Amino acid sequence: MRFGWTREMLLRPPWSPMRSARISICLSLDDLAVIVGASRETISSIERGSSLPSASLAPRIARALDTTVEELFAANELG
Amino acid sequence: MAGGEPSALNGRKAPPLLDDLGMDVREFFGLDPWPPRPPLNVLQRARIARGLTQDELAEELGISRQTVSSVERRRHVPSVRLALAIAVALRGTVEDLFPPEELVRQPVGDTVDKACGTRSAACPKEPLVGGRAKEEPS
Repeated sequence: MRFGWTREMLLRPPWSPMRSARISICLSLDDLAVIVGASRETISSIERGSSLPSASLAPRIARALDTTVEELFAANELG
Repeated sequence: MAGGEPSALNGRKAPPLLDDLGMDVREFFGLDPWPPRPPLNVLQRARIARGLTQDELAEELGISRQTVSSVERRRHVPSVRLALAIAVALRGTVEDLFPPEELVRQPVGDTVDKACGTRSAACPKEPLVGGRAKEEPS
């Protein structure tokens, strides 16, 4: 068992790009939920990859996180 | 005439009818169609600019033509996966092809908006929650 940050964890973090983008601008789940006008549960399940946002919610999330929809959701494998 | 023996076409393909082109007679002769067509939205203009029909776009994406049609008429808000596939097929971005002001439907009646927890008078535009546009009660 190795403790601390490995190179793989730094290069490819186990969480979604959306979570990385949200944490990098110091937003909490509740903040993002209020900004995009969705519930906290919705934002959380999108971040964990257990659900996909609709085409109306995704641009609002991308705008709030100052990225594009392609960067946030193009690598999402789960439907 | 016996069936299966087209004489006038002589084996060639029949020319398209006006219905196949989606054209009116007046439009064919360069006049404005009647009844007047509603203005095309961003998604329809992007598809036509690529020179695709709804059938061809549906076949490229592996979905039905009815889905393409309802997505274009904003009757149905697709998931971001389908929106990304459409954006790739039409060489655009999701932000441009699905602008929020076209997707937001005006609320019906006095509804509580979950996002800000106030009445809809304070939130005149109710955001669409979930993958499907809310159906208006009839």
